[in-house]
Formats: sequence, C-alpha cells, structure tokens
Amino acid sequence: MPHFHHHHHQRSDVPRQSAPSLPPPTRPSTEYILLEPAALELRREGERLQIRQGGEREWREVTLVRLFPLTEPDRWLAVLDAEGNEVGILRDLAKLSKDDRGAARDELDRRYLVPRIQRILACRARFDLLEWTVETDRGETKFLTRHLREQVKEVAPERLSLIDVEGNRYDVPSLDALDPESRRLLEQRV
Amino acid sequence: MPDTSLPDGVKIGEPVRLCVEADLLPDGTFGAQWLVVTPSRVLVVSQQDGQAGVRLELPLSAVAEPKAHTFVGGGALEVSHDGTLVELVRYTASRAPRFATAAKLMESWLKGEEAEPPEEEGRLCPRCGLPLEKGTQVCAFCTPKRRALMRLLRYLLPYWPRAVLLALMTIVGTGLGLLLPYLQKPTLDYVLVPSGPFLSLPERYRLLVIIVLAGLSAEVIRNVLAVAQTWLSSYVGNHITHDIRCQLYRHLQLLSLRFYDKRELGTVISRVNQDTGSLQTFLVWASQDLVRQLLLLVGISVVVFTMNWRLALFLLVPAPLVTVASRLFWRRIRYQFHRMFHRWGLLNSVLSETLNGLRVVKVFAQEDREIGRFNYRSDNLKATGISVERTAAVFFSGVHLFISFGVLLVWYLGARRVLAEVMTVGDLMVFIAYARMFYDPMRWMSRLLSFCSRSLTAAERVFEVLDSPPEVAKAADAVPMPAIEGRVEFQRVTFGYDPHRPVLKQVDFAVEPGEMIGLVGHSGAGKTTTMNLLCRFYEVDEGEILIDGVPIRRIRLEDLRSQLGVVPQDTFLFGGSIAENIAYAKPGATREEIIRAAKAGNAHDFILRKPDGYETILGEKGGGLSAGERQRLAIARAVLHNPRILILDEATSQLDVETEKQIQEAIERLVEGRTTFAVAHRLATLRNADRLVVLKNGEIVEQGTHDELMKAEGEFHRLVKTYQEISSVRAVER
Repeated sequence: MPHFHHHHHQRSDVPRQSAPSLPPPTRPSTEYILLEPAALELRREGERLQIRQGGEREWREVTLVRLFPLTEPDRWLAVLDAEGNEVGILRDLAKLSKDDRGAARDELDRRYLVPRIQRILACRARFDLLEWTVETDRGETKFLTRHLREQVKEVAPERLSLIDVEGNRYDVPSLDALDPESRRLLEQRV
Repeated sequence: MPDTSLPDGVKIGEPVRLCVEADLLPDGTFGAQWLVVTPSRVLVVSQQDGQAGVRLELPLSAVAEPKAHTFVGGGALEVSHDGTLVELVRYTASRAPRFATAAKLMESWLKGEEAEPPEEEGRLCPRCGLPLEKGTQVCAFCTPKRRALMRLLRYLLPYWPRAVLLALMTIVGTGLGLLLPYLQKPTLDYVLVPSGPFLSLPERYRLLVIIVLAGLSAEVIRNVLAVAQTWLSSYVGNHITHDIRCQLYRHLQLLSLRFYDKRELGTVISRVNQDTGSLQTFLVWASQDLVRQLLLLVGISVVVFTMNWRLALFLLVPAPLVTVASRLFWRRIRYQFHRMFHRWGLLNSVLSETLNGLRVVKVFAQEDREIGRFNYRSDNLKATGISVERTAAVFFSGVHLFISFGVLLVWYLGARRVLAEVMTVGDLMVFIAYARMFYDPMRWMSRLLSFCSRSLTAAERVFEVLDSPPEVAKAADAVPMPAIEGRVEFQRVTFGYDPHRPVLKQVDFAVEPGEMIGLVGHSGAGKTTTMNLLCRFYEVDEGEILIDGVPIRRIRLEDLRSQLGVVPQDTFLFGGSIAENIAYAKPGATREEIIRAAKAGNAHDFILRKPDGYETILGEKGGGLSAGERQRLAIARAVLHNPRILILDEATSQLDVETEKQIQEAIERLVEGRTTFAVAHRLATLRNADRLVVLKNGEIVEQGTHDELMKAEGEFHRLVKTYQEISSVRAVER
C-alpha cells in the first residue's frame, strides 16, 4: 500500500491525527463526476450509509468525505464506495431532501469527530504540557497539548485548530465569537 | 571598442580597422601586444625592451576561422592560416570580452559582411577606476556615505508632518532641559548664600518655593514631551523600516537568478532581517538622539559663552582631541562592523545550510565536522566582536579623560574668580553644571556615531541590493503574446553562467506545436541550462530562442511565463493548504477547477484521504507528503496552470512501481496537446517522446526518435545501455 506511507518525515513525538481508515482506490478517480442531488436516495442501514441513484444503481456501503472540511463542511463531499473508489462528488448537502440530508449528516458526524470549542474554562501549564478544560458542542472535556506552535494551526483567519497529544482535534471556528475570557486564555498561549 | 593607441614608431601604412591591446606576451608573461586589423592584413605588434615592432603579419585573405578560446583566467585568439593554427595573441580574462568581440568582427569581415566595432560600455567607475558590476553604473566603492543618509531621508517624506512635529518637540524639550541647571543660580545667590541684594528670610523661603515649582513644571513638561516624542518616533521609524523592508523584499523577488547564483542565501536573508532591523534602531532611536544632542551642544555653547566667554574658551580645549579621536574611531570601527556583519551572514548561512541538510550530515556522520565549521565561524565572529568592543572601550575612556581635563580646568579657574570676587558662587556652579552637560553631547555623540555608522553601513548594504538591476530588463518594445501557439526554435544558442565559459554551444533545434521533445544526456550536458534559458531565467549570450517566430527577449515576460509551465525535479511546495498549492499559478481558481486538476494529476485520491482533505496544511517544503505525492501535486499544479509550453524535469529518484505508473499516467494526460520539453530519465518518457535531443558537453550530438537513435547505436544507445545496466544492478540489490 504505497499510498499510506505519507508520514515518514514526521517527528515521532508529534502526534498527527491518524489517517482515516479508507482503503486505497482500486482504480484512480480521474473523472470529475457531479452527483445530481435530485436523483439520489440516501438511507442508513445500521451504521452504514446506502445510496441509490435514479433507482438503478445502488451502493450498499458508502463513505462521505469532506474535501474542504474546514471552510465548506456541508459542500464538496466525495462519495466513496466500499472499495474506496469515488462514485462522484456531492456539491451541496442543502440540495438533498430532508431525509437524505439527515442520513448524510449522521454519516458525517460519525466520521468527523472534531469537537467545536465554545468556551475555554481553564488552561494550566504542566511542565511542557498545557492542560485545557473546555466546553465543546459535544460536552465538557479536558485535553493536553504539547509544542503549541506545531499543534495549533491557523486554518483560516480567526480560525484555529488544536491537536492534542493523542491526536484528537478541536476546532475553534471563530476567535471573534469566543467570550473575552476564553479568548484571553487562548491568546496568552498561542 | 575604443581604438587603443599603438606605441610610437609603429607604422602600419593603412587605415586601422581594429586595434585591441592584449596584456600577455607570447611566453605568458605580462606585457603589451596589439592585435591590428587593416583592410588587407592582420598584424600583431609587440613591444620588447622599449622597442616596438611588428611581430607577426598575415594577409587577411590567407586567414580563416578566427576564434577566441577561453582558458582559465585568460584566453587566446587563434586563426587558421594555410591550414595550420596560428595563435595571434594571448590575454588575461580582463581582456577576454574584447577579444571575443574582435574574433566575431574578424569573422564577419572575412565573410565580406560589414560590421562595426560596438561601443564598449564603461566597465570601470569613472570616479575611482574600480571595476563596476555588470549591468550597473552605480559604483559600490565610492558612493559617499552622505548619499546613504540623504537616501534614507527621502523615505521620511511621506511622514513629513509627523517629522516636523517631532523636530519641534525635540527643540522645546531640549530648551527646557537647559533651563533646569540655571535654577541653581538664584538658589545659591539669593536663597542660600546671598551675595547680591539681601532678602529677608520669609522672602527667601518664598523664592525657594517659586524656584522649585518652576523646576517641577519644567520637568513635567519635558517628560510629557519625551513620551510624546517616543510615541511619534516609533510610528515614523517603524513605518519607514516597514517601507524599506517591503521594498527590499519586492526587489528580491524581481532580481534575476544570476544575483542569487553569486550570493549565499544566508547573507541575503540577513539583509532583510538584520540590516533593516539595524536601520530601525537608527531611525527610531539614534537619529532622534543625534538631533537632540546637537541641539544641546548648540544651546549650551550659547549659554556658556554669554555667561562668561573667557571661561567658556577653556571648555573648548579638549574639543579638538575629542573630534580627532572620534574621527579615527569612526574610520576604524566601520570596517570592523562591516566585518562583523559579514561574519554574521556567514554564520547564518552555515546554520541554515546544515540544518536544512541535517539528514545528509547525519547519514555521513559528519556532525563533528559541521560542529567544527560552525565553531570556526562563531570563533571568527567572537574575535571581531572582541576587537570591536575593545576599540570602543579604549576610545570611550580616552574621550572621558580628555573631557575631565576641561571640566577640572574650568573648576580651578572659576573658583579663583569667585575668590577674587569677580564671579558669584551661583554663577560658578551653573557654569560647572553646564560644562558637564557641554561634554555630554560630545561623549554621547561619539557613541551615537558608532550607532549611526553601523546603521549607515546597513543602509548601504540594503541600497546595494535595491540598486542591483532587476531581472532581465524588460524590452521597451516587448511584444504582447496572449496566445502562444507553441513553436519553439533554438537558433545557435550559446550560453554560459560565466559569460566566457559556455555551457551550451551553438545549440540548434526546432520543436513544432504540440510536439514532445525528450532532452537526454549526462548530468552537466546542459539539459537544465537549456530549460533555464527557455524560461528566460537567463539571457542567451549568442544566438536566439524564438517562440512562434518571436525572439524570446522581445516577448512580454508576463505573457511568456504565464504560458510556460514547469514541473520541476524537486517539487517546491509552500506552507499553506494543498488547494492553495495546486492553485499557486492561478490564485482565483474555483474549487471545481482545483478538484479537476487534482484528478488529472492522479492526486485526488490521496488528498481526500487526508483528514483535512484539500485544506491540509503543508509544512515547510511540503513536509508530510511523500515524494510521489509531491510530484503529483506538481503535475496538478501544472494542469491548472494550463501552459502552452511545458517543461518537465523528471525526478531521477526511483519510486515504487505503482506510484510510478500513476505519475506516468498523469504526465501523459498533462502533455497532451502541449509543446513539451522533458528532461527525461524514465524509459517510458523516452519512448513516448516524438523526438529525442541528445546533448553532450553543451552540444547536440544526436536527434531523432527513440527507435532511430537505438538503431544508430550512437551516444543515445550508449546512454540507454548504461541506464539499463544500472537499473538491473538496482533490481538485483532490491
């Protein structure tokens, strides 16, 4: 599997978010195929997402991949079949019917576990680690970060992404939207 | 070419068409010889034992193939005469350009063409006689320091209202500073030891309060002004430094690659951060202080001379010594600072070089050597630092000593005047206070001067970069070519990075639109140079490169570069997202375009497997991606750029079979319909190319299709055999 040898330059003590477990494609996707939202039918079958196109073709186990996860989480989704080959690209989730959209959202929520930080409750220095206590959209949690410079990325202006020592990722969608105290805590360290 | 005058006593008897002085004798020792060409003859005049005479004389009709050969540090002009080679003259490298021109002129004349000796551009500075850098008339050696200062002042212009306000505040602040010592006089003469009209005790108390209040308010105003001044000067100084820094960076982007060929990157980097930083210190802090000290000097002089000019004259006794010492110091310290800056630059380049190549260092276990190299540089820096500071220490103490003489002299003479009752105690104390203040600016100024000298050298060095001519000057009559078709012709192109040592010689070939050419040859054969010329990173020395029949020199550079794409051997990726890197040549590209390009480059599949997809941030130099992934991104980038002419510098590194296949597919899609130059190493590329051009030592030795060349069993055949042997060895090793 030559495609997964991406990380040979990385430092061993710097965690990276582990690559999502997607099989490498059996054939490269070279064609740009847009999926027609009206012709699609999405359904969840247990933990799997199924897609049917125009009542003819059906994929029983598809994966949705965000191509631009940071700036366009609900647009530009690649649909991959069970073998990892691209079925096509879904340009806008909003164009799907309500049920289809719900099924897609569930699948995305399962694959993208990136808590959104809403408030920073505390930030303590412990040796060279920082312990953050935060309130996220998935509840309150604590995590540790190291090498803050490498582990905090400014993914867009005013938008930060934090990666903790275990490779979990936390999103700060907008610095401006944070309350002053949280902002102060964050800016002190970053 | 100027006619070098012949020595006396030489008669040619014919009009001289060309006369060039050579600086070597036939035996290789220094001495003058002249090459003279007349309408019918070629002569060599030499001078020996003060006697000038014609050493060699050939009829022009019997001469053929004049050629200026380039050797190391010199050259020789040869002709063939009746089938044998005759060396006419030898010369050093400094004369080589003239003889290269001379040879070309003779060639044209022999062919019966009319040609005029070209006007020689001034290679030497008219003022100091030192050689000028190519392409510039600004002499780096004798540009006066004052000019650097004036040039800095020009940057002040946009901020003049603030600067004027700053100057006013400085004047007022300095004046108030002068007021304070003067308050000692009434305190001593009227409050403490009244020598004039006697005042009652309550009156003295009241006077004391008034004096102290006056002093207090002066101090308050002065310090408020000081804060305001800092406020303003930090604004102006930082803005100017910002302006210069941006201008410098802009210029660095526009400079030709030749500029960088000659310099180490570390020294260029230290220009941007250290030199501009030093300028900032000067602008924010030192320049202002300099003005303040000057004002103080003038103000105090006025005060002490009006108080008692006789006594004041004694203050001036150490002044000449201080001035002379400062001048000497200035001169000495400047060179030391120059050296220190240079050594900082060297240290920086060692640092960036070895840290960049850390892998190599470790692989060859050369840590100790690199540590030694760094220590050596750091040691040099240390030595300069020590000598700078020692020179400064000796100077400052010396100056301090001179100054003390002056103060003590005034002290003695003044006290005698008080004893003789021609001066009050108050006057003496005020005078001594001013005397100390009088030297303060002098002493300070010498220290400030060192700051200023440092900053002015920094400024000069910054300006030196700004004065280097930008990339390949734009032709005034540049031809706009919005739609290049893709026909490329090399017409007898000769080029050398060092103009007299050609890397490419008379390279001549043509490529039709949409054709794919493979450039083959050993490393150093001139493949990459050929491509550099096509990109117009450098100008050809001779010959012409034509695109759609238009000389490349005359095509508007933006048009050329926007329709020329390069997939380099070592993909350079910038810090930023994958999407930004793909869209580097087309910043406004839509998401759809980016995805399509990535798919064409076979990059889409690995990109979507990254957690951040197209928004994955790449580290420095594309860290986090494998070599194959980087190459595919480079291909995607080229697809989006959509150039008419594509340059493909294939990586020599071997990738695994699967990745290699994917890259090959992507490349095949990319070259479709474009004029493509491939610096080829891969067998597949060699087979797919419409035609192969085989280079050897800068010359084309073979051209043809893969099969033709294999059949001919020439240079290409030999190369392929070598490749195959190597790859079979590699296969065995695996």
